[in-house]
Amino acid sequence: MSLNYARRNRLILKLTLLMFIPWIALVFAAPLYNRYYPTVGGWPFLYFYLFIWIFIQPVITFVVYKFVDREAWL
Amino acid sequence: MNFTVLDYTVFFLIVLAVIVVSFLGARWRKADLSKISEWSIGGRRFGSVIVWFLMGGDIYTAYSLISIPGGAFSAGGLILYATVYGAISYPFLYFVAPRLYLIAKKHNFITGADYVNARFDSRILSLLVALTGLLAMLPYIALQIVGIKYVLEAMKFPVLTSFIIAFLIVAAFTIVAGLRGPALGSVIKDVVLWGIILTVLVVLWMKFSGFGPVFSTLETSGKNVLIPDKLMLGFITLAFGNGVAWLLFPNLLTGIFGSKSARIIKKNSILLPVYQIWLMFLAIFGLVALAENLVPSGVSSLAFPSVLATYFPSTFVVIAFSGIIIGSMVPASLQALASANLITRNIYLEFFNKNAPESRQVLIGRIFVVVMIFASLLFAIVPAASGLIFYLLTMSYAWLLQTLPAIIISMYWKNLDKYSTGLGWAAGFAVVTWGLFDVHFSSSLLPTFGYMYVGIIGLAVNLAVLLVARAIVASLNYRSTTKLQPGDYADFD
Repeated sequence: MSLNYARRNRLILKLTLLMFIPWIALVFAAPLYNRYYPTVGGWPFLYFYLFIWIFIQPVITFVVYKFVDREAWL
Repeated sequence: MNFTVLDYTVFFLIVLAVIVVSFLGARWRKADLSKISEWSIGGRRFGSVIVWFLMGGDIYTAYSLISIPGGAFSAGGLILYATVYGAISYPFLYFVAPRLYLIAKKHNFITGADYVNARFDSRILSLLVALTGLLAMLPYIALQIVGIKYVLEAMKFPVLTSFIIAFLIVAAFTIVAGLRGPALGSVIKDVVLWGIILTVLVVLWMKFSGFGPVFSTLETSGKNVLIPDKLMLGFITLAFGNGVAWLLFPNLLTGIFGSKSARIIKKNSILLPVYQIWLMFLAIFGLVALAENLVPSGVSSLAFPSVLATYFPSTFVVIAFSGIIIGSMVPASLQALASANLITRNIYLEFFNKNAPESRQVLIGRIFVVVMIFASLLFAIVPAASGLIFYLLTMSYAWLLQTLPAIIISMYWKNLDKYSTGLGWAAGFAVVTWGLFDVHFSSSLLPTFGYMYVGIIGLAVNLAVLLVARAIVASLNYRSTTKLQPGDYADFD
């Protein structure tokens, strides 16, 4: 299946936003964010970081849904 | 803690409400329940809100309420892998599930193994996938049963009798209403659970001024709230492996296939992560129990019940307890249903009675709901001694992860053949089972591999074998067959 240029770029953007970014930020960066300091509002950095990602991730998915996805069947 | 007659009344009223509503599901959006897809996946008619409750009801269960605080209590930050894997699996759901959904809808598939059967034109591979799903569902249902043990003990109910009564009721409403039962039941269940968690959160937040003092108490007493360095590789592989395996759960596929459209699945991958807030705060509740030394016996599963008993009046405690009970009954129903679908569609229909009419399939499905519930009861009663019930669940994930090539990779890799996929599965499954056996099923992180998660080791072997086998099959000029058309993969962007 050959994809035209715009569609291919959109696919790469989708893959990056939906998979590579959360993989890197949440999975592979674990040794970096597994730290007590700096604390935020008394929370260790580890807890604060993972807590804000609970909100970041759906926002990214929403952006993809609203602005990137152009599937004909939607 | 002692409960009054009023407390017991409140408890039974909430549990009863869920049971009644689940039975009434049979009459909801009146359908001909002798049709297999009407009974087993609600006729593919669920909209965003119901799918949200249904899938949320399935993922966030009594297990979350008991073992997330328990895990934080006993192992500190390692349990946070649960919040991480959600952030992996939801984008994955968005990207992958609509494609599977559209193929399933077009061909009227009800299980993941239905898809495998058509995609590879192989009923053997489909059987292997179905059996893996069944094997994974057993501990999952058992986990729901074990999850209510502490509640039953605290309320002084006879545990074994209560197990049997509760899960016979589950079997009964699943038989009567099919997917519509737990779909409606999950709405009440989640309203109750959201109420409980938010109430506990607000009360404890005020008491401990935003939890800062909890963390500093633990820090000064030398207790580790971070991920232990030794288990870092375990954390990474657990989070990643479970995030990917998540979509392979037969009971989640039931929810996905029950959706009205692919758009609803996409919307839900944006909306479902709201539930993840639970997990973070439940972990912190476990740390409260640790910091305040609320569990003298040190049994980790008592962390959350102890927090409730210490800071709340008995009436609120019983509401929370009823939440845990219904939080185990609704998911157990979904899991029994998904298992029964696998048995009916991929074993009975395929191997025993090719021409079974739909009403017959529904009958077989109903029988196997009961069989699965009983099998899980047995499963629950034997290894229940272990306090760390969350390992049971990680085993399901490890086995299921081995069906990734068959169910998901095969949607993208059109030339993938049944022999390579089957060999990869066999190798991965063998490695996982051996790994778990090697540590006597006491953990899913293997010390000999730097505490790496057994599912990921299995998947690595699985994919390596698959690639080698694929190269050999390709060199033999074997042409694989499929019952799917190229146009079936309609979602490609």
